[in-house]
Amino acid sequence: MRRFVSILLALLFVLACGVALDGCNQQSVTATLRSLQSSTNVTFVCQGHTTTGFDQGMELSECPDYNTPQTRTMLAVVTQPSTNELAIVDLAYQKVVDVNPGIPGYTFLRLPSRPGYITTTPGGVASFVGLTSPNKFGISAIPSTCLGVSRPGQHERDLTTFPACTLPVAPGDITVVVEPPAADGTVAETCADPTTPEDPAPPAADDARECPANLTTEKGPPGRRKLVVALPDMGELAVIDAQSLLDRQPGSFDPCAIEELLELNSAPDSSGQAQVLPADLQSKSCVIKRPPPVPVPANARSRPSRIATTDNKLYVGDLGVPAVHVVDTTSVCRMSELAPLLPMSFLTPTRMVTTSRVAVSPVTPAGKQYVYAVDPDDQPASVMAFDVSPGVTDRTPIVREGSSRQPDEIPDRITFAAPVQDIDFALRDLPYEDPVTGVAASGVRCDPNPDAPTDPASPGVQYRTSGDYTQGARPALLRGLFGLVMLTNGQIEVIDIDDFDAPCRRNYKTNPSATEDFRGCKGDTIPYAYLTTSAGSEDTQGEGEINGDRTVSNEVSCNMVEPHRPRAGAFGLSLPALGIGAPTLRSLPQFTVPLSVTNLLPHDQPKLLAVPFADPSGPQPPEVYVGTTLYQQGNSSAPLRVDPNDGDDDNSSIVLPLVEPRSYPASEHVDLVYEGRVMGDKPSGFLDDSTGTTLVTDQTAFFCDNGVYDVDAMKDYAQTELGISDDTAAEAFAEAHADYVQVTGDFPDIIDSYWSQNAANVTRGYCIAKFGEPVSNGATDLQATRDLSIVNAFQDHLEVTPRVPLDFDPTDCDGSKPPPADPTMKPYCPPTIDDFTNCFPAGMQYTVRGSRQWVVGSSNPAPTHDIIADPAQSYKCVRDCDPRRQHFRSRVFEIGRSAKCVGAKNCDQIAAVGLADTIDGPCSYDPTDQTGRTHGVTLDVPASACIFENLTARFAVYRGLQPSVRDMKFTWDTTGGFYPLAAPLSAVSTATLPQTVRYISEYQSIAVIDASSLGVSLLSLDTLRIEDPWPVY
Amino acid sequence: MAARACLGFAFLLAGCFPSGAGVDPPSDRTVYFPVGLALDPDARHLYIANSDFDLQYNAGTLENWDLDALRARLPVSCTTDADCNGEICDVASAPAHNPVPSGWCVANVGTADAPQAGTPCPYSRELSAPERQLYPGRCASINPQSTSGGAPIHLNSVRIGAFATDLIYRARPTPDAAGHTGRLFVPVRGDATLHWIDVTSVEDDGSPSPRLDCGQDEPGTDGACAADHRRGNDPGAENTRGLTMLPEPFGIDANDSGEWVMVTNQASFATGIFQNLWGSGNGFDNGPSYQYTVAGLPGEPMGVVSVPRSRAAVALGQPDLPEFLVSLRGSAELELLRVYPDAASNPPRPYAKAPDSTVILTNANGTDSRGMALDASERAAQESACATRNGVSDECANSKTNCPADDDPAYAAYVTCVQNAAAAPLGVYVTNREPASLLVGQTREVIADLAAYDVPTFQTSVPLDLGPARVVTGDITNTAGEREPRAFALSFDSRRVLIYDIARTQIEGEIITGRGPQAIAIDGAHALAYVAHFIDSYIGVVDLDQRHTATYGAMIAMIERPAAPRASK
Repeated sequence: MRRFVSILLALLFVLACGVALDGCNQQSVTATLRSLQSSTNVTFVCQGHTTTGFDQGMELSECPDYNTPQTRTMLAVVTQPSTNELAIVDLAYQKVVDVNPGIPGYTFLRLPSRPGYITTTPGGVASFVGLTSPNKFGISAIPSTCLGVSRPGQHERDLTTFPACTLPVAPGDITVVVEPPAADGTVAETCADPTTPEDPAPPAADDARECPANLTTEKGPPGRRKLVVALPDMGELAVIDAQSLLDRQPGSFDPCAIEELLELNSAPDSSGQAQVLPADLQSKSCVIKRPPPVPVPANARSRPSRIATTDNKLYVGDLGVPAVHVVDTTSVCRMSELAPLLPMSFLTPTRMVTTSRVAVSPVTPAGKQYVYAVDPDDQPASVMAFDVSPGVTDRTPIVREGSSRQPDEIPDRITFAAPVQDIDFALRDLPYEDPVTGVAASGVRCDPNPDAPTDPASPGVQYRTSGDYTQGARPALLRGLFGLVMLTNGQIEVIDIDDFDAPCRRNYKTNPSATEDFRGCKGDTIPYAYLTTSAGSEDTQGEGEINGDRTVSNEVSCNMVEPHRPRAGAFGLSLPALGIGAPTLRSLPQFTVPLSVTNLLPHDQPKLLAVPFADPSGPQPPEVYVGTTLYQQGNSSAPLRVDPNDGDDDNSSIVLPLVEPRSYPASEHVDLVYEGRVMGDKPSGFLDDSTGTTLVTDQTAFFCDNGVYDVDAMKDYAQTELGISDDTAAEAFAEAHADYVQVTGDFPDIIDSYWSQNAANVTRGYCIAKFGEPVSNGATDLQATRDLSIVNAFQDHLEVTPRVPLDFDPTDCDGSKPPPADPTMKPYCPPTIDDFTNCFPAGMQYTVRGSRQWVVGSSNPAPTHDIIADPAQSYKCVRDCDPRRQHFRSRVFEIGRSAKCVGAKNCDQIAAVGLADTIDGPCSYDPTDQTGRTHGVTLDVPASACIFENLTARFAVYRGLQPSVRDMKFTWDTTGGFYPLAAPLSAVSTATLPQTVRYISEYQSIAVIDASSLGVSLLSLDTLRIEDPWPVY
Repeated sequence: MAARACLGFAFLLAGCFPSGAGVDPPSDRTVYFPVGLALDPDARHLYIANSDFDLQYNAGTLENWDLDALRARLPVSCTTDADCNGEICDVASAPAHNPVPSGWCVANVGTADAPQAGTPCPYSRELSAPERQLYPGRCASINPQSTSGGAPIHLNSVRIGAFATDLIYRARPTPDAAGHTGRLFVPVRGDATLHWIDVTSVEDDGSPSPRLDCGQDEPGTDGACAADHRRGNDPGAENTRGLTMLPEPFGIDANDSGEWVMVTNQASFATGIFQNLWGSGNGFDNGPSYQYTVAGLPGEPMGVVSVPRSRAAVALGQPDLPEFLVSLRGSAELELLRVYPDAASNPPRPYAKAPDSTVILTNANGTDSRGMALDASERAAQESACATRNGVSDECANSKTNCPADDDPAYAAYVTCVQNAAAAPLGVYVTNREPASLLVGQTREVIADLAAYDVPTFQTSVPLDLGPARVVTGDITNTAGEREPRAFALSFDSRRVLIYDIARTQIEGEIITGRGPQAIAIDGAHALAYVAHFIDSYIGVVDLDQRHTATYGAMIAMIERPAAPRASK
């Protein structure tokens, strides 16, 4: 009673103070108090009442408790490294457990030193946490019976509550492995003596103890529980008997009894296994010279990182040697190392790849199993996938097909925008009952076959995407095996591994051919469409409308779901009801001209127009989404212009390739500029003609990495891509189209002492007269005198010569001819190199532009060109024959009109396409047919080589009746590009430092441990959102 | 922290610091709102920049401490009496230990037959439990001016402007005629200058202590650095562009040779470049001169760190374009700034540009980066081994002078070796405030034949305690007596220094400090760290030797009497 009165008085006092203070405050402040800080690792324990007492540990599968009242609850035991504690969070009641309510604030379980990794026995009876403070290395044993508030009669939880043992070095990851009974059923107490059975009533089971723990009777697989502890500094795995540690005196901290030590193999793998490349990465045109892998240093030592556990194997990551150790734990007392998995890098084989985290997937219904491992030294960290299914002998990272269509993808890596913090797997099914057998089988795949019976519908049919896209196979429905990759920035990304609904996520049209069509479909087993009403025949009403019930999602591509790639966050469709999920134009491309161009009539302009898709079954008519409207050729309400000679239509158009939705960033702005910039302005080019060749040197320019084409590279393009077989013609094409330098900077300031001191006595006025003012000083365009043609390009320098017109005659400028009588007919004479060096004496500002061509520029920072620096040629810029760059294009050559038109006597009167030039190579076509009707370029003429297609656009540019002018520009924006399905913790708070992710199958939820503001959170696998009352902190 | 910021802001509004008039800095204390620490190469001297943050005095000071004298007063860890050279090892198993054994050698205050452990704090007293909450460690402060226990720790000092922000030391390539062996650079917010102070670290003239020389003895200076030793404020003499250093200088670093010094100006979104000449005497052919302002950075620049030039770049004759990485407060990115000496232009007009940057995607919100540090130990070790193995001199390795011919087999092997070494990444560490974290990254691989490309990417984000500030790298001594690199991240608000194990890529532990740890200097050779406590104005000494099981990562001494800020007294 006295206590009650005291509390009441105290509350009144606080209230009075509050009222008094409130009179001073205009604004109340809500302070959020936190109990968790620097939460890092976690283990989950199901705890509840059993016949043996309260607070007993149980198997995880016994939680959650759906009874009333609940007698079992799931606990998250979370390490608190900054305070050397273990915090407990009750998942059933979503609250942090205060183990000593008598002390103000939250009290957690104290540990002798900084907690590291933590694990729990299969039956949930006890947990074990590594201790990592220098000079206080060891393991603490935490019986589940003491995970909570002290019961009456017990002393407060403190350092003397739990037994611990010391280790000579810091422990790394810890896991529990069960040593199975002998053939006669004997469960041995020690590894050393397999004949002596364990004591069924060990000391720790004594009820007199405050925290009893008996592993001999816990549920789960039969056998003796052993701790396998990684010792990174020793390169070993240690085996410690779990019950023996629990049996020690609470509060003790004596040396651990290590029963077995396995020294992990540090020797380099001698099998010579190399990665198996898919067909599309096996170069057909050249041999890719990759440096051989660097041998593992002789002094490299194993340094085990994380451990992933299966029934009879451990997969152990290693930060010291390039191996994921595979340890056979059929008997943990006699564990042995098998042939390891071999982390390696397809992209940089010279790098020694180590692994910081590993996770092993559950076995899928099809019997497949995978190991994911984090490559911490990749920049940023990436994930490798290994197939460890039975019978698979390849121990190298999986190299996926189709990487050449994904500019950001490394073929053997799953990469992300931010570093990877943790990984886990989620295997889930939502089985339907089979109407015939009454059995709800797991792992049934969605069945798109139109011939499948629907009355009653089999489970496979029931999984189909519903007509309104709200049920059945869809991006947000995770049914199957998925990877969960948690990034340091608070994103959890979902990786497709084995989506049971994948067969129903595709376009309704089929392609039995082994060659993929323009939607990426191939190898279909039925020759007709996925429509039910007229099974056996494709039945559409034109204009893209489907007549019938589709049995698939009818997304624009057949590559919506791909194993070991990030899962798409949206349907590949652009529909009013769904929004934009397919590659889509925001509007038709727009054309703009520089300020210097006026009164340009539509037929005089260059034309940017769509062209048909190439397809195994023949050219397919172009179509493209603009918003949620599908534009098609001949569609009266949404027409797509394809004929450049149509004088009544001045629209531009393009189509968007549909093979691979991941080709597209979420949104992209594209500029197609005539003689556009290949690279941005560089501040520090230096002219140097001391060697007899004029050089522009810039150590920081990385010309090849920016995609600069010199004469040789352009000639190679002309020969291999445009089909100009004649060497002289190819040379002429290259000289006309190789890139050029444009000096964009200013001269030294007018007050600069340079003008009074330079040896050449040049004046600023002379330079202005020679080169004109820079744009920064008000010039609307830069003079052509500032241009220098690139003869040879290297990574750090360019060999240049003053740029001249195609009809330039040197004798016009060398004084051998008398000047023309008419001053306006004075021939163009370029500045000398001395003029350049005298007028731009210090580091000059410059850029590089494409010559007589259109240059594609994108807001997407990923490179889209095919130029690399060749070390064998002093880092000269050459075209890369790597098949990964086969779709990288950025240069567009105008298609002109041929001199003769078969269907018209006078092409000039019907065609709005400018006449092709002699240097245009194959880029000319006859715009008329036999009947005299005009058309765009078709796929069966040489000019089709000049159709542009890269990963995100396909079109042709037709020359206008007036020549194109530098900085003329077409622009467009795409949206609906690929974005991954992800759970963003940052939606709740940007102050997140996620540490651990775990899929809790019992809750069908993802648990996230955050070291910053979020503490412990659960995210539903259905919504991928943190929902109230989470997070708990 | 908030109080500190308000106080500073109030002073700024009041018109900055007083010049000359007012109370002289006290003669009885040598630490007053310390903001910067620097060691000389052989760790014989500790230099302390005091900021006079509350303007109680008419100047800040630059102090010079004798670390030999300081180390002589530090406790000696032991396990048995045999470790103690005649003293008693104060451990629990000793026959007459202290009530709480210290694990240190202590005097025998008993007899040979009945030994009695003396106090573990012979130069002060033991702190009470409440005191230890405020000032971690066992012993009360040691007076650096006291001769008790040997020569005084404090050697000498000079006056500098108020509101110094940082301090760096660079060794001279060769001593000058006056015997100067190194130079200190101090950015000073009060008068927006860069102070430079020449030092001698050896007693070469019989004087009682090594000198600090910044013209403080010139007439009219009253012991303060002379005008010639405050640079960045004379545009006509220092550069051809008429530039002065912008207000609010904050972070500072210099390249290895000390020729190029970069200072961040947090209020101006800019950094400034000084060219430092290793001349002698007065005049602008000696000392730093302001050359260029890099303006328009996307955020307030805070930390700056020099990217060491690889020896491969030297051997290949690549142009020496010093690089600096700059952290920003208001933008989630790091800027790479490159200095172009532009010696070929007439007249030479050095400038700097930001040719590249890296976006911090590691955190959900990567803004508000503060300190930054590099760890080049792995590359340096490999490069050093290359030189040793192939008999290449330091002169050749550092400047490609007096090298063997390029076709000399040993030299060719050296060049190949350092090219391989250049591929060893540099560790990059950045403290980020929101969320409180240490960003851990690496520079990208070097394209050794052409040019270095040093913009880092980050691999992970390590949780820190509230209020992270600076981060430095240095060595600890492991249980085998070997040196190992660590990163030390200071959390000003939460009084912690996190120790990050670079090789094992994990947190090793935390040092509990006193209030306001502002700067830290690591003496790897002696396995000690010196922590400048801004709020209570003293220097804490931390044991970084893992063989000392009881004291690793703990404060073992407090030098200078703690003094709380006036407002909190």
